[in-house]
This record gives sequence, C-alpha cells and structure tokens, in this order.
Amino acid sequence: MTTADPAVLDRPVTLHHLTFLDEGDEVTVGRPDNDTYIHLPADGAALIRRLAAGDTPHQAADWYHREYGDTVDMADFLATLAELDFIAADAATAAPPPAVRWRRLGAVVFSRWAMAGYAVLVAAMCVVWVVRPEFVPQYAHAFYTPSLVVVMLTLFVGQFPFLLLHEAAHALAGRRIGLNSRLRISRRLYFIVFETSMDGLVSVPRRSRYLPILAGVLADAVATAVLVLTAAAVGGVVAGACLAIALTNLLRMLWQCYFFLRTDLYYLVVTVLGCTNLHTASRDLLKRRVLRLLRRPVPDAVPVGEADRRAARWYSWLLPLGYVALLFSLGYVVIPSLVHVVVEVVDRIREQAPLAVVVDSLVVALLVFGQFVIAGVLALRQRRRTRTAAAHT
Amino acid sequence: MKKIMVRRTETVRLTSAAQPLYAPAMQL
Repeated sequence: MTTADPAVLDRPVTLHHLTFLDEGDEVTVGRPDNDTYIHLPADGAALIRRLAAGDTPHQAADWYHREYGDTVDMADFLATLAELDFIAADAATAAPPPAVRWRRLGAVVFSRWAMAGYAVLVAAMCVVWVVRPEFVPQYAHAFYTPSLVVVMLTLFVGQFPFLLLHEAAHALAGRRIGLNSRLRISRRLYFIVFETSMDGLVSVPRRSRYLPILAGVLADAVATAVLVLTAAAVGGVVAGACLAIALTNLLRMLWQCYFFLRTDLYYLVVTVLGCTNLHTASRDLLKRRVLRLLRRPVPDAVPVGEADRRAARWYSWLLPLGYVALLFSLGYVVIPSLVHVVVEVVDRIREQAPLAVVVDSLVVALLVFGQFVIAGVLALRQRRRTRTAAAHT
Repeated sequence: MKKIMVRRTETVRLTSAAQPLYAPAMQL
C-alpha cells in the first residue's frame, strides 16, 4: 500500500494479528508471528486498536481529535505501520496468531509438583556437600584422570548436552505462557554461546517474564544436583566425570554474572528495574560522554524510556568496567595459554617425541584453538550480515 | 500535526556460554 495516496485514508486497513501490553504511559504492540515489537505512547496504541476494529484512517484520526483535542499525522503513522510490516495486503494474507507447540510439556515441566521435586534435588545436593565436602565443586575435579586429552574431551563434549538443556528450559518456560522461540549458536566477545531468541517476552506482563528468564539457571542447578548425587552414589571414574561436568555447569552459572554481555542476569535486571532497552541507552550515554570529553560534536540521545534513562546513569559506568575485566582475563590467561600450547606442541615435534604424545598434544591444541576460531568465524559472519542489512536499508 | 513516535523493543536473547578451555587425578 502507498500511504501517499489520499484515497488510502478512506479505506479500512487490514492488520496482521497484533498483541497489546499496557504498561502505564506506554504500550508494547507486536506481531508475534514474525517477532516485531514496538513501544509507543498509549494514544498511538489506541489508534492502532481503532484501525484493527475496522475504522478507516480518517475515522480513526477524527476519533483521535475528539478524544485528545489534537490532529494526528495519520499518513505518517500509516507509513510507520507499513514499515514495521504490521499491515497486511488483504484479510486472506493477514497472519493469524501463531501456533505454539510444546505448551503442555512446558506446563508439566514447570508445574508446582515438578518445582518441588527440583527443590528436593538441590537440597539433597547441599546435604551431600555438608556431609562430604570433597564433592563441593573445585578446580581439581576437572582433572579426574591423568590424561589431559580425556579431561579436555570430557569438559568440551560433556558441556553441550547441558547447554542445550539450559536453552530448552528457557524455550519450554516461554512456550508454557504461549511464547515461541528459536535456538541458534552465536557469540559474546570470545565466548561461543547457545542462545534462545524470545523477543515476544516483552509482550507479556513483567511478572510472567521471570520464569522464562531464570529457567536456564534453574536447569543448570538441577542438572548439577543430579551430577553430584550420581557421583556420590556410584564413585569411581563415573563419579570423576560427573564432577568434572558439574564444574563446567557451575562456571556457566557464574558466567551469567557477566551481565554487560547481555546474559540472562541482564534481562532479569532490566525486568526488575522496569527498563525496556537499558543496554542501548547505556552505550549511547557512554558514547556521548566520550565525545564530549574529546570535544567532538555530540549527537542527540537515542529515544529511550524514562526508566532506561535513569538506570543508564549508573549502568553505563559498569559497561566499560566489565569489558576491561574481561579483556584483562583475555591478556592474562587466554593469550598466554594459547602461546603455551603452541610452544609445547612445536617443542614435542622438534624433540621427536613418540607419535602418541604428539597426537595427544595436537588434539589438545585443536580443541583449545578450535573454540576461538569458531568464535572468530561467528563474529565475521555477524559483521557481514550487519553490513548486508545496512546496505539494504 | 502530531506525529506518533515508536521505538523498536530490545531483542531478547537468553544465552548459555560454552566455557573456553585453557590448557594428579582425583581419588574418590
């Protein structure tokens, strides 16, 4: 449709299925089938509701004038809705509410009885830790066998089922309340991450968002409890492998504290504070501070909500601190480790060590470097995708 | 003429990170 045509304002507009969430002065409106969501003032949302109810744009504009005593730029508003892809060509192509699979399973997995069961498992783990302190996660648990290759393979391969379990918990908790999600592999700085896209989370009341956000860490805690209890029950090499994997679970739970990488904990903070886009608001504030310091032209602030503006005043200082801490660990631990691996592999080849030892070293080197190569490839792909998207707009 | 301003919402990406590997056995 072309909104420049005046006749358009006299014809009803067909909208795709939209959801509305009233949050005081602002309303979140979204199209759940393609995960497009916006915040706009309550009067704008009321206009969309009038259009959805069958008003022509002219009728909706007249209603707006009677209701608010102001004249709305309806052509501009329609152009915005068209750009957001909220407007359908006709009723036949209007997207219906999307089907959400696995809702029932989500309801069972997060039922009160199930949650009580998880609490019992975690409590039992704590009892084991008190009675047998050697089962409390510690660095030495990783080295449950003398072969470092076996250790590396256990830690590397063993973490993937639990990464998927973490993401499956997010997805099921979302589906329980009717939200679809997608799983993909991405990166944060030099970390490879599995991530569940759940943009629809902004379309449900804030109190309903906590379980989908926390479900991943809850799954990590329950999985750790099962591993520790299994280790306590069976002993031997199986116990060693269980405790090594439990250690990686614990490290992943601690990783969530890097909230400046927009981890689950970040979304929890945003939800508690009533923010809508704290990361963008903080980065923008930080950028303008730096430009002011360098006496360079400072652009206008990006439009954000009042809660974001308030929180960004202190959160923006935490962003550079977090990045500095992480880059320090990169320089202090990661890079020296990589150099060490290269030197050792080269030394062994040069000293003509037995073939088994050389192969052993090469497997370790492959695992250690492979993870950073994958993170680098993901970064390049992301960069290329961003450039392509920018070229098309 | 009043213009209605809209803002796209923040994307929600719930994540879990593969832990990087940085290169005696436990007796249980």
